Amino acid sequence: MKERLDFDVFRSSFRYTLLQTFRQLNAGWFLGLQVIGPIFLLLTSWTVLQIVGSSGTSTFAALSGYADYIPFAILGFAFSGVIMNTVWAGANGIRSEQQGGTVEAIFVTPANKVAWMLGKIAGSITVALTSTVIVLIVGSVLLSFTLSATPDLLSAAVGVFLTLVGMTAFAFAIAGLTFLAKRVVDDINQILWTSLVFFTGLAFPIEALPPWAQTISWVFPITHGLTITRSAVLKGYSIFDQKLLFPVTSILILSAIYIPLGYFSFRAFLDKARKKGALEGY
Amino acid sequence: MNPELEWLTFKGVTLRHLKEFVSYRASILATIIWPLPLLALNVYQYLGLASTSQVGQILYSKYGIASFSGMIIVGTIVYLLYNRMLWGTGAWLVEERFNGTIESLLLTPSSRLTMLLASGFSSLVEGAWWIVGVFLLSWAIFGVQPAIGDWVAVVIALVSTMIALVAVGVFFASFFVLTRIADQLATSLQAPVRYASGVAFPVAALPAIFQLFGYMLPVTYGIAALRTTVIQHGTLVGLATDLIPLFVLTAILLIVGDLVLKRLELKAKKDGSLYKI
Repeated sequence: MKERLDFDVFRSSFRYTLLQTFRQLNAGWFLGLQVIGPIFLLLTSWTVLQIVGSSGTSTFAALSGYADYIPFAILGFAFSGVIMNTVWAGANGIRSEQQGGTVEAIFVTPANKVAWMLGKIAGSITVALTSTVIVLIVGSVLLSFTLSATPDLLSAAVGVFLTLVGMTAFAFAIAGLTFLAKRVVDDINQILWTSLVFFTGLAFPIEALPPWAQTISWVFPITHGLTITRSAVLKGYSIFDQKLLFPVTSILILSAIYIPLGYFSFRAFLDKARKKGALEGY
Repeated sequence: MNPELEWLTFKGVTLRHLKEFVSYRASILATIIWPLPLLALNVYQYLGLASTSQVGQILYSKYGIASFSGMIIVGTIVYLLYNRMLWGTGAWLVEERFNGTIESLLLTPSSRLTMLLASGFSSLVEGAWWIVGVFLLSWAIFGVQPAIGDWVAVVIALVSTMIALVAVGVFFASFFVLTRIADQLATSLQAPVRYASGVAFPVAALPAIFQLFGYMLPVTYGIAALRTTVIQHGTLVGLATDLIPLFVLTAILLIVGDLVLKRLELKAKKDGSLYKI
């Protein structure tokens, strides 16, 4: 019975997030931030390649091990929606209730708050997946390229799935912070979002970064998820390939860390905010 | 027009915005930190394809630009200012609507243009913090060496760009009143403006259609003028090609913005829909 109720909470929260994003009045945000934004970032990468010229391809191949830069960048920017949604999903879910004055009502009901939060994040992840597909299609149509290997689509799908699991756990881990940081969480997330776009190698191989920066990039599940997906699509690697052992193991370990971390930090921050009577303030 | 009243309006709006800005200390710091990864992204988009010296050589031989990180930093700073104007001045009336205070604001006898200019001025003060902060941090991280030939030209380019961006804010304010989905349209325009104005490269490197779009934007001329003066030893004489279109666009945006705002306000007052704007 309890599981059924939890599932109902999850489903309602999930549906609410999807409806809020895609309803006519709000769809412009989705288009602007998660479709047009990544496409123009992709065009920026394409223009930089045109400026640098043919020598760029060989430098890029030597650094990254991939033959062609354009499909590399398309796959990278297709994931920018995932970054945006995971960073903002949980925090925005709580912030909008705080601003609307409804957060206290939600958090004093006996409904499972973790199911409520997971529903919000799952809704945002679904939105991100939609933007990923759109950017992949538009990018591939706009900028022509040829694949040098037969893609292993099943492994690519596993790569995307692992990325989404890892990033959901990551989103959960930072969502609870909103209860205490309140408005400052907007600033934290703004910095986190741009940092993730940079450190995870959406537009360039992370091998181009200095070693300390590469170490930071490994902390984010999406870095490894991108490596798996790119290797499966552009090199035809199977998920069981020895060369993917490091990213696959890393993303699994990171998910195993972020899931309990997210769960316990969310509960801890929520309890602290309740005890301080700080749920409502924003 | 009563200059004393206008000054009071100007001061009141400016102080209010500045107080809002300094209310959250974390935000003040965040405003100069969050752009850095995006700036670094542009730098590494080049470095993933060629070494620093190769990129420098290519940009110099093709476009006469000696400092490639300087090119990106100047572009990013002007774009950030544009963004500040868009969301600070342009979307100001949207915020008033959201707070339920727009009706009382538009029923006061104060000049709307004075209020908008004051809002733009306070955004510029915030912008000055961004300019200095982002420039110093970028200089420390990426080691940009400014190549300034004429300080007067730098000041004129900077002031002209700032005035043009205030005009952008005033224009967008009327745009925001015109339609309730203006904030979404403005968001959708951010990435195309960033691309076409040449934040990460000279506009000449763009496909023709985007060059055409780019040359209709004041941001493009502001970036070009500051690049010329800050990293290319540009002088006042060489600035004319960028400043003349910048001034023309500034005048057009100010006049059109003010006219549209007045007309929309009048219409809303006549049909009693002021609260709905």
